[in-house]
Amino acid sequence: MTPMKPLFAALALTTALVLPGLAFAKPVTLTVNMNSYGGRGAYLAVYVTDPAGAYAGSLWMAGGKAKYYRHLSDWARFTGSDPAQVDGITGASVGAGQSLTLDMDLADALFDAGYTLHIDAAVEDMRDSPNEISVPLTAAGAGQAVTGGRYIADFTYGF
Amino acid sequence: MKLPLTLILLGSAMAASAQTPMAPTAPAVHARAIADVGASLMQVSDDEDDEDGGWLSFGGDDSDEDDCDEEDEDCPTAGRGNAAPAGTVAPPANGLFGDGKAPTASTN
Repeated sequence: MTPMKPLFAALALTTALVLPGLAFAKPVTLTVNMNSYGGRGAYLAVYVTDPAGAYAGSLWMAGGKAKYYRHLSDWARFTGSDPAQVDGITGASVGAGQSLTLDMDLADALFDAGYTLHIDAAVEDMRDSPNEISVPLTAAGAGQAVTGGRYIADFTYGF
Repeated sequence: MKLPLTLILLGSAMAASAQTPMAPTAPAVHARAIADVGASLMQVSDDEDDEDGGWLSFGGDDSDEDDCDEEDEDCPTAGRGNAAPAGTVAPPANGLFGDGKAPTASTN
């Protein structure tokens, strides 16, 4: 029976490592309320960085023309403005004064684990606004509005 | 005539050398004046911020001065097209979405 113990331990360990990222998810609603900034629709890149500050992936792209993605400068630096990063998660830009609501299932492993959600914003003929929102993903932070800056009035995520 | 000319030259040389002690201060004064002018220009034009900041003609009708053309080699998205809209393909397998279900969006 002794030879089985390392194998069993390894199996348990790999299961524990893999499952949180794949199997457990929760429905999450992200709400972005825009300021009345007096310009055209804003491009927004919603993405996540890991505990080391490295790019983990994108959650949403508001704005469909890839040639403008370089103005979402932090996201562009992480991704090389690669449109494939936001395939299937791209929608329309968001107008001034509007509210964008995103519903998605997010991996449980993102919460209370050092991950941070970011939003870069950019508007035609106006200044770019990278990292306008930067909020740690925690259970305690759900429902707490985070104030934006130039284009975003506030941002909230909730379960 | 040679002696008066020599005296004039000597006098001019002495007068010039008498001005020498003032010389070191003059460049400093000019430098400060240039710096002052430069600072004023930076505040008025603020060019660097403009280059890093706004962008021109997103969605506009005619000019694309600050937008990158997808055929331009310098454009980071050249030849890669636009991203697939939500609902047309599965979301990226980046491990963030629990079950691969596509996010949905609404605006008001």
